[in-house]
Formats: sequence, C-alpha cells, structure tokens
Amino acid sequence: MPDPLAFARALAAAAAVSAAVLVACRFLLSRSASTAIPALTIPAVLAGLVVGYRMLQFPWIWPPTNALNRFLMIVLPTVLSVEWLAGITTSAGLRHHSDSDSGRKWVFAGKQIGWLRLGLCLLAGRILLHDSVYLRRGNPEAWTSLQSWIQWSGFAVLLLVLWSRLRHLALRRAPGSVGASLALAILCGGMTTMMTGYLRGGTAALPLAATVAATSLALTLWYEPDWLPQSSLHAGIIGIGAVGLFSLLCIGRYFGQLTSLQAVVIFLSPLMCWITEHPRLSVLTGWKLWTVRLLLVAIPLGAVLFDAKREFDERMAPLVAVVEYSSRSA
Amino acid sequence: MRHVFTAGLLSLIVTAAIFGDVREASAADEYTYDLVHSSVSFKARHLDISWIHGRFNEVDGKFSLDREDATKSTFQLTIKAESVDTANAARDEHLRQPDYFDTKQFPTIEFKSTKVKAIEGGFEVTGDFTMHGKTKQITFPLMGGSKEVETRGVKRVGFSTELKLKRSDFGFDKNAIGPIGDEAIIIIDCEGMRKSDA
Repeated sequence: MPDPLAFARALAAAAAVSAAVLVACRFLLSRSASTAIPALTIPAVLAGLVVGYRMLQFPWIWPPTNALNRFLMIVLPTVLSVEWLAGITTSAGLRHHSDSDSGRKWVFAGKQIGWLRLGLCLLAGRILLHDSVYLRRGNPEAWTSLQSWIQWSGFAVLLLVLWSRLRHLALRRAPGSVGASLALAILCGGMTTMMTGYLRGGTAALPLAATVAATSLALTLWYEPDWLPQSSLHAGIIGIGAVGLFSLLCIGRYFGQLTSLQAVVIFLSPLMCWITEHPRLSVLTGWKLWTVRLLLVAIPLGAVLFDAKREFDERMAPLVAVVEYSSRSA
Repeated sequence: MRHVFTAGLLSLIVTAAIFGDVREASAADEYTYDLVHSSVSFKARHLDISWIHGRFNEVDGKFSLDREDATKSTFQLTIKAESVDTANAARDEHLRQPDYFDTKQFPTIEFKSTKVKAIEGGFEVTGDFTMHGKTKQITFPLMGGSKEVETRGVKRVGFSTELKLKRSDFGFDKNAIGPIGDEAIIIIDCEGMRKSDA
C-alpha cells in the first residue's frame, strides 16, 4: 500500500543530498577550479538518486527482469554516464582556450557526445520493451516489423524533439526553470502512473523528480551567472530529466494502464515553457519567469491528474465500497 | 426366443459401448488438457481475515501417462496470466499490472515436469514452475489418473492437486504484496482427453 510519509521522506532525502553535494562543491572549489562544476552535477544527481531509491527499497536486480529494472539498471546509468562525459568535456573545454590544440580536442570530443545522445534516443524504448509481449514472436500482441520500426522511430523523434527544444530553451534564459518544469512533469507522470494502478512504477519517478528539481534550484541559487555559463551547468540535468521522463511514461504506458493521451500530454508539457519566449512575455525575468513557466506546465499536468484521479475513484470504488444497510422498522 | 435373446444381448453390448467403458488406461497415452472440464483456481488471504478467490480462464497443457513405468510419465501446463479472473474487473486489471503478474512482461505461467513417481492414489510430480520470470522446482502430489473413461469416442482421465506457493519466491515485489497475502493456494482439477483407438 502507498505510504505517503515514506514517499515524502525519500523525496526530501534525495533532494537534500543532491543539493548538498552541489552546494558543498560551490563553497569548497576555488574560482579557478570552478570549471569542474559541469562534471560534478552528475555525481550530485547520482548521489540523490541512490539515497532516494534505497529509501524506497528499490532492489538492484541483475540481470534486469522487467521494464522498471531495465530503466534503473541500464537506461538511467547510461544517460548518467553520457551526461557525465558531456560534463567532463565541457569542464575541460572551459579550462582550455578554444584556440589551443587541447581546447580544439575537447570541443571535438564534446560534439561526439551528440552521437551518444542520439544513440540513447534510438535505443531507450527498445531496451525498455525488451522481451515484452510486444516483441515476442508468436504472441498475439506482438508488433510486426513495420509496427516496430514505426514505434522506435516515433520514440526517437519524440525524445529528440523534447530534449533538443528544452536544451535550446535553456541556452536562451533561466535554464533552471527548464529543469524544474521537467521535474514537475516527472512527478505528475509518477502520480498518474500510481493512480492508474502501477504503484512501483509511479514511485520510481519520485527520487528522479526530486534530484532534477533540487539540482536545478541549487545551480540557479548558488552559482552566479557571470561565474560560469549557466547553460553548461544545466545541460546534464535536462538530459537526465528528458530521458527519465520518457522512460517512466513508456513503462507506464506499455506495462501499466497509462493511456497514450496521458503519456503524450505529460511528456510534451515542459515545452509549454516556450510560450514565455513570446515577445510580449520576454520581459519576464527571475522568479516571475520561473513562476509563469511552471504555471504554464502545470495546466496540462493538472488536467491529466484531475482526470486520472476521477478514473481512480470510479475504478477503485467497487474494491473499497462500504455497503450501507438501511435499518427497517419491525 | 433365440432371436429375442440375441437381440437383447446385442442391445446390451451396444449400450455399454455408447455409454461407458471404464477400464485401466494403457501405457504411454498422450492426453491434451480439456479446458471445458478443468479449472485452475487460487485463493489468497486478504488482510489476513478472509480469502480472495480467483481462477485462470485460459489454460493449455498436455500429459502422457505410462502405466507400466510411471517415471516415464510427463506433465505440462501453460496458463495465460492475463486470463486471471477474480469476479471483479478493477481487481483483475490491477492484478495484470507489473506490481503483480506483469502480464505484458510475463504472459504465461508454466509448469513442466522433470520427475514423476507413482504413489498411492496418483503420482508425485516434480518439475519446474515458472512464474513472473522466475523458475523454481516444486514437488506436489497429483491424485487420480487410474481410471480412464470413454464417452463418444473420447477417452478421459482426471487429476487434482492443491499446492501452496509464495509470491515473493517468484519475484513479486515484496513492497507490493500489500493487503493480499504472500502465500497463495492453487487448486488444479483437470481432465485430459485423447481420441479412442479406431
């Protein structure tokens, strides 16, 4: 049975650990060593995730037997590794002058990370659905080859679009709010998955949402914009958030009872942040910009949650129904 | 008089042939699982105060019986996990989800015997039971199998058994066990059928 207190504790612990690692780095590293920060955001996220998942008693199962295990043991470590590599190349690139030989080498290395990200977009869905009824020959629900290619292509395009648009938005301004909107979508995805009946699948979203939100906030509050390019700090978190959101919604949709509409609305909701780039809203800055962006993202998420709650009450009511007996006079 | 007696005897023989021929089953007979006259049901504790009952509606299997050497007999059963039925649609949907049977990842529950020995009243069957992606060896008594009944050209033999299994032994998430108890009692009553020899 869901234990809201245990969820809250794990959320708080994951967020606190991630933020604490980043804040400690901020105050322990000298200004000259600050170029290492992009490489340190990923270990901060990792520390928070490990604490959060341990508190929620998620086992580390190898080889992974189901989609959630494959997410925790393959997809999540892969995206953490790719973004950590990206962070290292960014740090090294910031350290070396771009005109120097080593600087050019690091810039080149940084561009290769794009191929790894593309590979992740292409393979994430396939990994999550491995050995499921959709891919088993002879199973009545198995996809044909054409259907499989359409699915993989669709997954890759959706993830690429979200990831690239959010990275582009983060390069423009307030990158922390992009991470925060991703965290909100992940949290909503988790709660919706729980309400459609897959408790553990929804619970897995909590530490991820917490660490993405906490690191986005910590980087925004404790790292001055002129000290380091903010976008270079947030790129890794956005990657982890985008792939994590995609994976959890994929699991909820194909193994749980999440509908396609719910999954697509939640997945694309962070793109609502782009509305603030309209010329009339471009005057917004700072916390006002954050607030408007998060409110815009919350609109479709709120609609999905409201609908999921309504369906949950309808579906679960018979299981928890209280039979009322009317007393009759003799 | 003789004609009447012969006609009566012939009628008796025909009647016996149509309505039943109870005799011992011959060795190495292959049977297929008769879904119409069989059931795989289960029960599990709810809040430790009552039992929740359910069944699987889609089951397939086959077995072979060797009367001369029981160790050569084999038993095989495949249950479609998605066919779980607890007379409540909401609960059935919930049971199909990854917190329980995870039917999209593990569509079938299977049993395949590895060792059979004759015991009084039936067989002791040992085999690999696979559920939720995990395989464990189990042993249980399978009562019946001694009588073979022939009706309308089909020979039938019946078995029954009851076994206890823990869901946590088969990879079910311990945190999702919830109000439904870890241990489930599975009751199998099955008939196998084969065509009569011409």
